[in-house]
Amino acid sequence: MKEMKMKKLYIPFLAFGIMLISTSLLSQTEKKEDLRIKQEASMGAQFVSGDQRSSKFYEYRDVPNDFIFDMFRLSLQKKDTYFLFDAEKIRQDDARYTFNLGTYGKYDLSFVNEKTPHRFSFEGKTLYIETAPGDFRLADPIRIAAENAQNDTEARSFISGFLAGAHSIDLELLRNKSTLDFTYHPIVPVSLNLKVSRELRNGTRPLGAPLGSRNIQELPEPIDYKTTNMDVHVEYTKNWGTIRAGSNVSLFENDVQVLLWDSPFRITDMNRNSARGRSSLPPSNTAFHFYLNGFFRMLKTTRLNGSVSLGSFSQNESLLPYTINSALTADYAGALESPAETANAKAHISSINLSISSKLMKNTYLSAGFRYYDFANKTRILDLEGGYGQYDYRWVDDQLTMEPLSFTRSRLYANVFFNLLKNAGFNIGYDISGIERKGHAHEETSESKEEDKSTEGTFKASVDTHLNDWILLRLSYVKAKREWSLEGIRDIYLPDFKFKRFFQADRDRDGLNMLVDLSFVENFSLTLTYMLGKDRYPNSEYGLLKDDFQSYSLDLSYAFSKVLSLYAFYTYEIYDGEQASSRSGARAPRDTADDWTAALKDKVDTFGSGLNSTFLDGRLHLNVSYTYSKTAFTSDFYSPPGGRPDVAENFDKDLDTTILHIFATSIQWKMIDSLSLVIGYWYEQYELRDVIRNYWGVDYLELGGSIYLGALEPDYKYHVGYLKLLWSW
Amino acid sequence: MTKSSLSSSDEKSMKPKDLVLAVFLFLVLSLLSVPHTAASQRAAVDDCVSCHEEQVMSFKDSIHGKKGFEMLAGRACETCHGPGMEHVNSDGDPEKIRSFDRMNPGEKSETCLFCHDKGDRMYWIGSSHNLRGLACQECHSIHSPKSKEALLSAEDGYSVCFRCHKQKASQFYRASHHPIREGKMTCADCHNPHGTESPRLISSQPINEKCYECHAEKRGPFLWEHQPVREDCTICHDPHGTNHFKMVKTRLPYLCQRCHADGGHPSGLYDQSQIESRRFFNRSCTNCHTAIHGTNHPSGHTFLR
Repeated sequence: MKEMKMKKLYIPFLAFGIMLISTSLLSQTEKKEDLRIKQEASMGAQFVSGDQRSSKFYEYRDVPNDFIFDMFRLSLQKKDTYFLFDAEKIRQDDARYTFNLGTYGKYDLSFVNEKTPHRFSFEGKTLYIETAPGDFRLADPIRIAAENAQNDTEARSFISGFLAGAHSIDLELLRNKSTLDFTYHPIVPVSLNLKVSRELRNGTRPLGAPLGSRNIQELPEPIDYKTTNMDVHVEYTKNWGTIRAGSNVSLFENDVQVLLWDSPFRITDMNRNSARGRSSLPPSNTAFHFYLNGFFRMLKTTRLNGSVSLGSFSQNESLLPYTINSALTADYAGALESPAETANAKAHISSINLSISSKLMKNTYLSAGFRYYDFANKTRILDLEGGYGQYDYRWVDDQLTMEPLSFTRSRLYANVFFNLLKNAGFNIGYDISGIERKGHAHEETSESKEEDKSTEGTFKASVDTHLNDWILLRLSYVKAKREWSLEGIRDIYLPDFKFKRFFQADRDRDGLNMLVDLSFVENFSLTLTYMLGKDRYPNSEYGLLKDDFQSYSLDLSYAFSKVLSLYAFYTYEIYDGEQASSRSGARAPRDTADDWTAALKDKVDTFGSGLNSTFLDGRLHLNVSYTYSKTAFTSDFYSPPGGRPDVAENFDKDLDTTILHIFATSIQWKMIDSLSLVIGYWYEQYELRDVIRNYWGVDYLELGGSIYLGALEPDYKYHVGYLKLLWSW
Repeated sequence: MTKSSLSSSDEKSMKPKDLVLAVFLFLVLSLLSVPHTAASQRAAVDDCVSCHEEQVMSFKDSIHGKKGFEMLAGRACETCHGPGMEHVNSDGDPEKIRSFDRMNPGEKSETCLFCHDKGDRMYWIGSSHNLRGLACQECHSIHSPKSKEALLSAEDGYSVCFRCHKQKASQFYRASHHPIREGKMTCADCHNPHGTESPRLISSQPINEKCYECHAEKRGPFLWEHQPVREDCTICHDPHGTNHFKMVKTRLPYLCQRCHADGGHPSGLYDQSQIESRRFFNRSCTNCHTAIHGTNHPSGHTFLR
């Protein structure tokens, strides 16, 4: 309690101290010539009240119920030299601090430290104790008793009895990123830039940890990541063009690469029931690129753009053994060993882009180019001849060969732009893009290693016109056709089973975008937009068959006078997908009665309105805004009778619906030129109606032998009020 | 062509020193032909202030004021608006000065590119925004900027983008979104609106390399790779926001079943009767297939480890 009081006192004292020191220091220097000093500070008190604590409200932000010191800005300028210190949300979990120093046209040095929370749930609970990073243990007596139970039902019931004693865990992640950015112009055509950032990510997030298909233990995955990125480049600019050469390095370090956990049901290993589970977490890795970018003015009206990049991704972390279950050595003697000491994984990456932009004739322009990207996976191929350990549960003696996936993307495009009429531009373009894949596998096939290519031709046309002062029209149309190289040549499955992965399958695409901006009356603007997207997979009878969307929006803004302006917007979107599946698949005996289809729809309404007003000769500002967003996800399943499934049982309500209301208002009163008082209020309400997410609980032992974290994100209604003083001097 | 005609032609061919002389003469003539503005055509800043005080003062306070007034250009307002004396002498006739209101988008941008045709703007010419007839002034306001940085005509970068990209504006209100409306990201963290060499104005190529900047743990390479994950994160995720867990495009297990529709447990029907199935409940498929982005585990070929 005493600590809390001290903490509360700390913030206003800190604020007062900074302002006092900076004011007294600067008042001495202010007398010197040409030094311009600006300071701003905002501090006050914030009151937060909610019906229940929800991680969703705090997902990416900190909303303290406390004294707040939400801004301090100090700007010094002498001739062309400047210094800026900008602090936002001081001492909060989402704070941002910026230091900036430089001389215009000479150099600029900035340092930014930014924190971003990501809260998953305040509700999570677990029986596990993390004895070392990534090592989750359960008390031995529980496991012994469960192992000795007469049957599964008794074991589950026994474990279930302990779950009331599960302890709370904090499921959140904090990103803390510091970035140093230095730009130097030693002489006019040359600039050098160095950018270094280091981000620490610490916390936990929910992760499934299965020990068999009916024994899923959800755990708080420990996150201890460090990412260091560095980019350095030099740029040279002359009348003939610009050239930039540089390189970047990215180092990702994960301090916890192994997840270990106890089975609640056993303390000794056995075939088809492991005492422990072990999984790998993301390996540390490195990326490197060297690049050369630039453009050249070849003729007065023609320029050539280009970029070349060479690089690599690599990681060589230790490999875990196939399994932790010692009982599986009976099936494969090497089950407790690794197939190799380290991963030896690497990929070579290269890209080339070339484009030309040219004025062909008066009011006619051409833009054309070529793009190429190659991901050549050079990871060492491992032959896992003995099979593998499935879930640490059982040994599967299927021979596996790890085949590295490589791909090459290419794109050839041309656009012609006509400016035939005054204030009207027409654009027509065509591009051919492709992705060539090597080394991936279609499971269930013996000849699984393939090479294939998806090639897409896209026609684009657009019109952008300011017909007159009060109407702006933007219209664009896209038609694309994608073809898969293996279509009709070789069926992956049985000849009558027309199934392809949707991201590589034949596809017909149509798209239309329209925006009309009308300003009939001075200070009035009405914007209408319409978007349509249609994807069809004409040669697929299973998997994704259709993926459409439409969006309508309306925006209004009107400034009645200098003292009052209003705005409102509404957007309606509908996402409409259809897919089909076959329970019996390509296996014989294949039965189409096992098929089923799903029509899935997301419907979204987003509405907002607000006003900005100024009274008393600009001394009083009022802002009011309201936003509403509702999303509903519905499904419609069908299955012909007689198969497996027999008939589809549709959900009797939407699978999920979320509603968000945000109302905010503030009044700012400028008491004197350097001091303003701000009083504000903000209300936020979130509702989630989900067939499962409202019911996430810890105990699902009765249903399948699993224990979850119960990481709910409950509905909330939060009221936030604040009173702040804004100084500028 | 005969041998004699060749030798005759060689005798008459231009010698190197003639070529140098010709180039020199061309350059001198080119320089002489460049229209020079006489000092008498120029106006002083004080002349501009007398009618446009608000604009001149805001300009002086901006970064352009520092560079334009005191450093590079030295011509103040005339750097962009051209010689102003005729405009002054004609009592402010707008026809007598380079007024941006009368320029087409290309001319407006060309004025800015005179200095800014480099750095992150080097691919503006031929970019999608350029070809759709946008000018720099659609997003930037030189005289009345609203943002702390980049002289934007709205307080936040995303507000500028959302003027046209209405659907994207709506998406950031979804339950699962990147922290744009919380002020922790801007559109420019992923896109370069001034033009890129990659599609969709993504500021790296391909899109996955942009995602890896913040999600480096997904980069690998891994011993076992999930093909769509390696190819393109947006096959499964919509980074602008969705109503589904982890910004996936549709709810699990149906998202996975867009590809895994070919038999066995992945192609089962998860309807109301399956509501408590471990394959539908909680994280659905990823209750078990936890390492869906790729794994280093030797037994991880179906991403269970």
